[in-house]
Amino acid sequence: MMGEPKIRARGVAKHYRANNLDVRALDPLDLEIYEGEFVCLLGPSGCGKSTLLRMVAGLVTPSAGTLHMDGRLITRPSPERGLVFQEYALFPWMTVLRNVMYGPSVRGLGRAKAEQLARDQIARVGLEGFENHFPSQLSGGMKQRVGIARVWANQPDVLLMDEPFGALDSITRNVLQRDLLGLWMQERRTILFVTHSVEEAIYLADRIVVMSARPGRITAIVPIDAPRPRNLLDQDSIALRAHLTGLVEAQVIATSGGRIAAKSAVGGYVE
Amino acid sequence: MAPARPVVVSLLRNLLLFAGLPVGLIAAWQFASQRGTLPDYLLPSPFQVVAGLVEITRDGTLTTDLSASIFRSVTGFAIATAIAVPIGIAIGWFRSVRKSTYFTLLVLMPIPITAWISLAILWFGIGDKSAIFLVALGAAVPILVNTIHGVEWVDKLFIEAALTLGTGPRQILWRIVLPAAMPSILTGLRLGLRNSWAGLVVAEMIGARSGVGYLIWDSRLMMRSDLMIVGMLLVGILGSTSDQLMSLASKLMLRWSRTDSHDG
Ligand SMILES: Nc1ncnc2c1ncn2[C@@H]1O[C@H](COP(=O)(O)OP(=O)(O)OP(=O)(O)O)[C@@H](O)[C@H]1O
Ligand SMILES: [Mg+2]
Repeated sequence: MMGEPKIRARGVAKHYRANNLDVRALDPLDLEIYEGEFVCLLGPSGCGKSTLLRMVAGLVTPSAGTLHMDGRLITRPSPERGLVFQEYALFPWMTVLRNVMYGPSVRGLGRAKAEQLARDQIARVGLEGFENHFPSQLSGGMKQRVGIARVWANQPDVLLMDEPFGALDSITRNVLQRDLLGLWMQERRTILFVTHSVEEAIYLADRIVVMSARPGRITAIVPIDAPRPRNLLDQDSIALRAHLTGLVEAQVIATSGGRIAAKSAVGGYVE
Repeated sequence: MAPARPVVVSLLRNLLLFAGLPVGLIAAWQFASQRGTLPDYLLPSPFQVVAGLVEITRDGTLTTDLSASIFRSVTGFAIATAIAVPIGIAIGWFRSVRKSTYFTLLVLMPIPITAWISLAILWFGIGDKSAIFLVALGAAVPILVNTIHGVEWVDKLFIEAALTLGTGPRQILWRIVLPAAMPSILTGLRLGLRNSWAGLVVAEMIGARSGVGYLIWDSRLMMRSDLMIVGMLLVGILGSTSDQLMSLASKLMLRWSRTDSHDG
């Protein structure tokens, strides 16, 4: 993929000040994401994945460096960059339809147009018949389908997903991964997807960006060319899984230095 | 297995459970009055209380007092809502407003409504205005506290979601914060309503010449303890009716919430 990147991060870093302590969440990093690409950010807990995603969303300002989208500096949130939350963040006082209509109507598309867009997206994520349900009446998997439909109804250029399936059971998670991939194959929007599941990253990504433990840095970028849908049980996937697991767990061991972490790494995968 | 029988049994059981205590209490009360264990001047018998109620219903005192009290209560509560909700939103949302009102509220809010009565009469004289003032004050404090709390503690996630979906910073307050804080605001309204009856009764005892509070006060001076009891029961009925109405209104407004009981 060549030409101007969709998202370009240059020397982006973030430190937080909490209780008079400086927390280095993210060390300066460079990253380019191209139009239509599915990129997974993979890294141990606390390494700054959410921080990076929120900076791309425009919710958090970098302490150093710049973020550009289509060559324009990112300074504030915009519906061009939709964010899907691990906690769903649906508006509980709105029905499914209202939630999905929210973006289009707040952008002034008009009621009828907004409703049409919303109904299309609800159908795409397989939630027809649930338009008038409230979020509290849905299962976790259904809630995240609404979360995805709500963002997709805005037709964003870039989808930012922060461990969207992290709170789901493994079966629901697999189904949603497959369905998300289906949606993405129909409409190739650029996706930046945070996960700490190696399998999830291998199943979804064009490129996997592996991050170090806090303060986060990029330690490896692993492209995957295998055609989709991928079989996680074939030889290449298993080898890749061992490789990536090694990369990620090396980070955990490096910081914790504890025997428990080291043991789990050794018991896991050997290259 | 005839399903009809357990239904009848459980109905009877419930009837017994709900009605048992009040019926028993009234029976015991009547019995004690008849035997003379409970002298009239301490507590008149249930029959005397009913007779008193019939008397004031006939001579029109009941209608006058009830309508005066309901008018003051509704007006005062409406004023409290109209003032305390917007102020609470401002205090909860804008940090500068919160800081600048902090000490004032810290000192003023713990003053019980009863302590305001002298000032109320001084400012508004005897009559409706004093009573409305105290009702509004009694309702305003819980409304204010709960509105501030609700707005201050709106989940940041909703705000972030709204921002990334294209909501302008100015729209966040009305589109997101207000509905998200609604359960807390409604709790405040309900607690405020409950609190306002104390304000009403005190105001009517000292600062008015009508209303259920005045009925209670005046009947003591007139040595009509039967009417005193009537007045107290009326306050109880007004209070619980208004509370039920308020609870119904919140349930309707909070249909989206699975647990729609936010009251204490
Ligand atoms: N608002 C904040 N104030 C202070 N510190 C913060 C804040 N947000 C994040 N941090 C710190 O920055 C570091 C990175 O946090 P971040 O949430 O980006 O990690 P993450 O990679 O998403 O972790 P996880 O996988 O657990 O979600 C953490 O140590 C966290 O404690
Ligand atoms: Mg995170």
